[in-house]
Amino acid sequence: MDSLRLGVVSTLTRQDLYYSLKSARGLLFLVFFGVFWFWVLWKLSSGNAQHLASPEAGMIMSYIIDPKVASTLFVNHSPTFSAFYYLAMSTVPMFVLFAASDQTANDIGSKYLRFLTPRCNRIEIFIGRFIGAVILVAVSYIIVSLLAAVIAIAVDKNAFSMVIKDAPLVIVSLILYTIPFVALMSLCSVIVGSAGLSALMGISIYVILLVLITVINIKMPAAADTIAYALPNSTKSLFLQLSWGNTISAALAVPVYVLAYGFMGWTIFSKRDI
Amino acid sequence: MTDSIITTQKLAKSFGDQWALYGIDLSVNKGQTTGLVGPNGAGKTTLFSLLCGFLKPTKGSIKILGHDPDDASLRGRISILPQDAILLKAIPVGKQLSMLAELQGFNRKQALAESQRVLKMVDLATSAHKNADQLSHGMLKRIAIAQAFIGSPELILLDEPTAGLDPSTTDNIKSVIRSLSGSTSIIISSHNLEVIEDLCQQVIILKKGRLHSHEKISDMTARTMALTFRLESDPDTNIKDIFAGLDMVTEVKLGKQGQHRLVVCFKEEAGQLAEIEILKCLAQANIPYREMIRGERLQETVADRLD
Repeated sequence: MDSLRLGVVSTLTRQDLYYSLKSARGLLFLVFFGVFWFWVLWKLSSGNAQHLASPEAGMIMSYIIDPKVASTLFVNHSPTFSAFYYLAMSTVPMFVLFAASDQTANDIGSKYLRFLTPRCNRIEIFIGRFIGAVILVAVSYIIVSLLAAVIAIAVDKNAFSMVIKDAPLVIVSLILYTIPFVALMSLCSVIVGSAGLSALMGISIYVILLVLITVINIKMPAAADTIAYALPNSTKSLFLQLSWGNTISAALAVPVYVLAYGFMGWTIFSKRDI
Repeated sequence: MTDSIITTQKLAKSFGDQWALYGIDLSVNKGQTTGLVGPNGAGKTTLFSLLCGFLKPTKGSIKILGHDPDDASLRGRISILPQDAILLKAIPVGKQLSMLAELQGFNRKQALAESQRVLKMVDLATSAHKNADQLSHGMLKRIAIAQAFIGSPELILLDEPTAGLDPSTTDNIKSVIRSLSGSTSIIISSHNLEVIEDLCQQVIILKKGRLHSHEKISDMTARTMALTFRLESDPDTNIKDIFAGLDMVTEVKLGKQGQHRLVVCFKEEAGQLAEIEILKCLAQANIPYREMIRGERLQETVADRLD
């Protein structure tokens, strides 16, 4: 019977984060993430995002995203910070599926888990790795959000109080939005024996479901809406409203995803040969 | 209260339709060093993996120190040198050992001291700061052995502890294992039967996934009441006749073709006189030999049984 010792989970989480900063896969994510956001923030620092607040840009944006969301984001909030937020939300699947792909996968493949399991319970490893991945992703988004906030304050006129007010909401929303993706990857990474395969599996599941939903939506929109809840991004439209009320509503779905993906992952991990 | 540290009943494990282990009933006593031998594919590593909870049994039950292998109360009380597990490449090995020690309940300072202690045991204290990819295969094996000693567990399972080690390092590892025997229950899986014979009191023999035998090594080999010769060539079957005049000779065994082996057993009371007389007989029959040892070797005894 497995039992959960919080001290061991904490130690495993700390060690996982330490390893993430030392290992090739951790550094690869951080470099990829860093280079992408350095480039985006560099572009945003030119102030071009302010044009998104104009009616013409709003009309164009409404072709890409929901007009109401476009208006909320770019007219009622700092356009530079909103542009960052929209881009961040849109790229969460790409980065998180990559960053959280190796919770247990490589250790299954290399059999490193055989050094751990005589010392800690499988549930402790499973939860410790999940929390480690959540913290890594969360810290990455906190840092990049703070940088974006500084740039928005510097670039957008009279945006100081708006950005200061929005920054906590943006950070909380981004972190909450990433958690179901990390949970999905905790499921993928217990099935395969390498981080690469785990990432591939996560991306495949995500893309296949997206295509399936799009196809079903043509004939049966109601069924497509229901199936869409299987994807971890179903709360995206709520988070994009950028209001505490909608964020809290969306946050209520996060534990459901974590429990659903986590339960499936744990069921496999607890029974599988390692 | 039982003295048994490991008990298995009707233990079986299959991979697909292939049974790696079947019907294993075992009872291993506390405080003993036990060898686990058998040819490749006999199920030694599978048995270790089942005992540590890496694999789940298909049938049967396992009790380690009175608990199921997954029981939380076993954490830190058993350890293993896994045969094919790989250490993390990006972290110094000393740090890795202290990380593992922390998982056994040591605080950071104690864990560091514990990692240094076990590294000293395998004579690698100076390599603590090196990453795994900077160390040779033999050094990595010693690091992996060191991790099995962290926290002085009650039961240590060592899967091929001397494979890939040079003779001098093998002696060092044997000496460490010997120093732990008595206070710790140790099970050693190895193809090197000299190591098993040297360190173990009992031996478990697996063959094709089944338990062939489990007995004391002293019962399997006559350690003092026999001479084993390696001859220049295979002896004739009538070589037994040259000892016909010696009442003290109780049995003459010949090795299989190609082994060039001759074992002459004698009565205990005859002592050294028997050894001299047996050597005289060989000399008179003009039978040269390359090597002579007192007693029988486990290697030949096990090989005979497994054929």
